[in-house]
Formats: sequence, structure tokens, C-alpha cells
Amino acid sequence: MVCGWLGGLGWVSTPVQNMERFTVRKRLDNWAARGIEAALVLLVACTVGCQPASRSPKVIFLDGAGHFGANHSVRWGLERAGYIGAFETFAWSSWLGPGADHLVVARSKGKARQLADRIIEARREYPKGKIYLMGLSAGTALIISALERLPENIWVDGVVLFSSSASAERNLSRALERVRGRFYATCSQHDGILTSLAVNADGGSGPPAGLRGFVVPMKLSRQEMAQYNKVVNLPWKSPYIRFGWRGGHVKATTRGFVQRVIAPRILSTEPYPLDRPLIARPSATGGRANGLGSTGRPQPDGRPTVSARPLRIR
Amino acid sequence: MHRHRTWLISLVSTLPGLVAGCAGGFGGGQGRLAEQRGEYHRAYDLYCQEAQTNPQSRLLALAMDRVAPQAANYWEDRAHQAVDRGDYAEAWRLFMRVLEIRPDHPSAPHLIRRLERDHASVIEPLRLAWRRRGYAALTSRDTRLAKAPSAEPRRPPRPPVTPKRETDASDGVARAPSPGAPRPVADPPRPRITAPARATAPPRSSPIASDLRPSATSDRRPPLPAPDGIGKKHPVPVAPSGTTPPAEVARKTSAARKPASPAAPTLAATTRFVPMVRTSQTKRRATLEAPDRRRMAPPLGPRQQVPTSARARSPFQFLVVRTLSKKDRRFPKKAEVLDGLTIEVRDTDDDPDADYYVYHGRKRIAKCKGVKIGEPRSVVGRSGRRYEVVLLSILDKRGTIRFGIRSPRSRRVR
Repeated sequence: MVCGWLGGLGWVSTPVQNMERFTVRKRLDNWAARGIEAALVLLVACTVGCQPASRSPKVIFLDGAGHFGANHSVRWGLERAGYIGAFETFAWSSWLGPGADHLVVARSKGKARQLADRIIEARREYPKGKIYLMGLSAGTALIISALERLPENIWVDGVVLFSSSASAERNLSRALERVRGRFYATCSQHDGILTSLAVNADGGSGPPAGLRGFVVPMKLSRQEMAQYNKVVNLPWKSPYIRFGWRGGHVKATTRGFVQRVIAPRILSTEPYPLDRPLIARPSATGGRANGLGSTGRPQPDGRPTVSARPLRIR
Repeated sequence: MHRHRTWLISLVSTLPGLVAGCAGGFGGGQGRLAEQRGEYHRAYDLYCQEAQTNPQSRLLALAMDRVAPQAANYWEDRAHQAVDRGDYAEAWRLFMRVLEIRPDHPSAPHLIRRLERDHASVIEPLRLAWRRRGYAALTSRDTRLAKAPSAEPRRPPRPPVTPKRETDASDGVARAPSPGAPRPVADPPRPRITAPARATAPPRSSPIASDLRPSATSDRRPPLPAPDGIGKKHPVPVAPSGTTPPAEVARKTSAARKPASPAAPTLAATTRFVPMVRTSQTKRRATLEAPDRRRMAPPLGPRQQVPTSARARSPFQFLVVRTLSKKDRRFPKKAEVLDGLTIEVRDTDDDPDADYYVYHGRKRIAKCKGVKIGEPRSVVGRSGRRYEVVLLSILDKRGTIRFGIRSPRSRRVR
């Protein structure tokens, strides 16, 4: 026993002690190896995690005034529809409540410039990647302002405005010049928040676009009007209650609706067949390509609304 | 006394809740009835109408979610039939309906784009109507569309179905009157002649058109040619002027096949299934005459059919004829047919025979294995009624079967 005790201290070594010491050293070696492995894995994970996402498509989402927290449902909806890419939420709320956000921050030039800078940065990171802008309620006013501030060589591939509280009669032509794909805007006459809205988020006159969709403003040049062939209003329809959107303000960003209705439009490389842009491109056969009337006012069923001018486009 | 007061209070507090619950609950009576009848496409439309006024109803949302897949399948099947028929405008309209019901449909956008690209002159007026009117343009055929300028010949007005028809003495087949020929003077009202006086269907250009197309779905479509013409080669209905293109002929005959008022399909409306026989000569002619159809519905290869003699002998009346497929994505693998019966195709063999399962909802009630073409299998519906499932055709290459369901009582031979 004494020998064993001394052997444990390393003063006396016996064959048995040598064997035990060997196994202990082996175990220590294993642990060290495991530790090194774990450290390496951690290092790699940290390095990769700190780098900007290298996935090409990128969605920049702007929440509504007062930060509704709708970004999660939009993200889930997109991912469930097969979207693989980065999803970034641009925080613009002042945290002073929805009133302050809607009346002050949403029309702030500084915030719009910040968003424009973020888009420019994203475009420089992914020169050929697809960048989509999505916004809810007052966040849509910021998106439009930021698009107007983008330089000529910067563009986004698509815009989706959920229940926009920007003015329906706002001139979008400058913003649309920076959009390569479609410019979708959901609208619903059942939207209780927008119905009771006194002032639009962008300060514009007229009803908000989230009620009956965008309209083509009067007194536009031909080039400006041609930009409106990107604008597609997505009015609420009764089948959408299947997807969770019952016409409410925030529910337009519900997961099912984003997955079934928005994502197929965004993820498709070709125009979606059900899209009805405000102004159609001239067809190959000639004639009035849009074939639309000249009512100039939004229709209750959300059908495309144009002023009298688009008939000039041939 | 105290106990009575408590009862009274609870009763008074419960009553408004019950009343409000019943009032604000799920109406949907018509839709529910249609769903119970198995008319899911109609039930979906009715639920949508209901949801327009009551968008907050969760039960309506659930009901719509329940019937939407079958409704989309229904319109999709009809769209494929229209493509096979060569009626591209109708196919486009139906595919758009499919996409309205199921916006994330995997193949409908592609097919719509393809139709728009390949048949732009036909689709362009429809697209204009769609831009103007939206979904309303899809639900009903717009008569104004016929006046829209189009490169292709216009669809002629539906010829009146009268007993007097231009009949070719050689084959005894009724022909559609030529556009230039004077229309027959309106005779005094007579009973309509159904099967014998019908124009012959055009030759099936696409194999899928002849075999996999449900000739008798649940709608009231007039029957296909009489069985006496089955053994012969299918004559091409050629207009006397000789200038009518085949597409025009096909459209004429399809127009002639349309009922006067497109009545909504009902389960009670039984239609007669008369299988078509495609000879090699017919196949060759179809290949030469309608290349567009081949593009949309590529030939599927050889298939096994009911023997001609058996078919000519027994044109049974089927309640429902459906097509299921294991590999072909155009058709569902499993579909609810009627009376709570769901049928799932499991396997097909080259013998030819097929395996399919029959379900009541999720519960499997029958495993039918090694079923030959024409062999009836008895099943009992949810209501206790007895039905016979008859395999009409098998396409082993794509794992596709076509079956009909008939009532044993309707098993009468003409």
C-alpha cells in the first residue's frame, strides 16, 4: 500500500504504476485532442458567423410604426416557400410609440438616407445578387423615400409594400426607376387602422395606398408613366382568409400569405401570370396594350386603375 | 333562493353568447351542401362568396382550406383536357383559375406562360379581359371575347342541335354544318336528339386525350360518339368547303359538344362513358394535323385499353370518372371521388393490372391488387350506398390509371 502511495507521488515506480500512468496520459492526450478540435470548430464558427452572409439574395425588411414585430412571420413565410438567402430587419423605430414613428420618423430624411446607404452597401457586397425591399405600414414610406435617394447605378430587384400608409397618389416614378422587378403593394378595404388614419405616413394627400392601392397620378410624362408598369396592387380577396389574411392591417404579413402569395411572385424569375400591373407594356400586336378604361379612381374590386393618359402608350 | 338566482344569472349570461355564437358563426349552407355532394369546386366558390361578407370566420377559412386542393385539382384536370382538345383559350382560363385557388402551384405558372407564348393570338383577348375584369373574366366566358381581333379564325356560333344534320352516307356520321352553308330553318320544337345526332369528336391527337381524359367527369357533358362508330376509323369532320383548318374543326366540334347552358356539375348528373379507340392511322393523322397539341401534351407511349369488343358491348354509365397517377404530376395520386370515398393509386404493372387503395377519409377500407381493366370492385360509400370501381385504362409507364365509379343499378347495357 505504501509502495502504491509512493508510486502515486511518483517517487517509486512499479510496473503497475507505469501502466496506470500510461493510460492516464493517453486519456489526457485524448482530452487535449478533443479540446483542440472543439476550439478549432468554435474558431471557424466564430469566423464564419462574423462574416457577412455570403448568400446571394437579400431581403431588407422595415417594420411598421411602433415596431409590430412582423419581420418573423415574413421571414418564416419566405423560408417556408423555399427562400434561401439573407433576411435583414432595418430598425427605424424611435421607440417613442407608433404615433411618433408614423408622424415624424417615417418622413425623416435622415432615416431614408440611412436606408439608402444600407441598400448601397448591400449592393456593393452583392453586385449581382438580388435585393428585395419589404415594408409594412409606415415603413413603406421610408422605402419609397430611400429608393428616391439611390444613385443611378444602384437598384433593387423587387419591392413589396404591406398595407402601405403612404399616399396612394404619390408619384412613384423616381422610386420605380431604381426597381428592376415588380413593385407590389397589398391593400385592403377592411384595414381598420388605415381607415381611421388622419395623416399619411409620407405626409401626402389622399387616401393611403393600403386601402385601395396605388393610382397613377395625373400630369406625368410618358417616361414617368411607363415606370408604372412595375406597380402591381394586390387587393385583399376572400380566398386570402385561407392564408391567414382577413383584410387586417398587420395580418398582411402573416406567414401563410407571404408563403403562398408573395413568395411565388418574388422567387419567380419570370412575371407571375396573375399580376395585373397598373399600366401594361405595349404588346407585340400593337394597339392599346393595357386596354384599360380611363376612370382615374381606384375601383372597389382593386382592379387596375389608370388615369386618362396611359392610353397614349402604344 | 340564492341557488335559483345563480341559475338565472348563468342562464342570462349564457344566452347572449349562444345567440351571438350562432349568428356570427359559420353559415356556408350552400357551400357545405356542395361539399357534401362532392362538388368541391363549387363549394369553394360558394365559400369564397360567403367569406366576402364574413371575412373573420375561421370556420369558413378552414372549410375553404379543406376544399381548395380538390377544387384546384378539378380545374387543373379540366385545363389539361382543354389542352388535349386544342381549346387553348379555355385551358388558359382554367389554369388561371387553378392559380387563383393555389397561388403557389408548381406548374401552372409555367403552363400559362407557355400557352401565352405559343398561342398569343388566342390568349391575347383573354388577357385583356383579365386585365379589365380580373377574376370575373375567369369565371365566365365573355361573349365579347369572340369579337376581339384575333389572328386565328373566330369560334363560330354553336350550331343548333337539330335532328337534321349533314350526314355522310358513307359512314353515317353526323357532321357539323359548314360556316358558309345556310343554316337550317328553325324547325318547330322537337325533342332533342342526343347521342346519334351528335357530331363526331375530332381525332385524338394526343394519346392522353383519348385515354386519360375523363370523358365523363361529374359535369353534364353530352356523351361522346355513339358506340356504333367505335369499331371504325375515326373520320375527320371536314367542312365541305375544304378550307377550314383542323383547329377550327376541332373548335367547332368542341363547341357543338358544349351544353346550351353550362349547368353546374352535380353528382346526380350521370354521364355515359364511351371509350375511344385509336388506331394507328388515326394517330398518324392526328400527328400530322395538330402539331400544337403534341407540344402541350406529349405522347405518353403505348397503353393498354379495354378490348374493343367489350367496350362496344357495355357503355356503362359512370357517376365519376377520374384519372390518378403515381408519377405524372398533372394528376393527383390520391383523390376523393364521391360519397366519402377516396382512391389512391399504388402501383401499376405491365400485365396490365393496377393496385389501388380505397379509403373512407383516412381509414383504408379496401386494398385492390392486381385489378384488370374493366374488372369491377365493389365498395361501400359513407352513406352506405354500394358502388363499383371499374378500371378503364392503365398507363404503366407513368403509373397512371383511369377509373370510373358507377352504381350497380346503373349497370345497364344499351
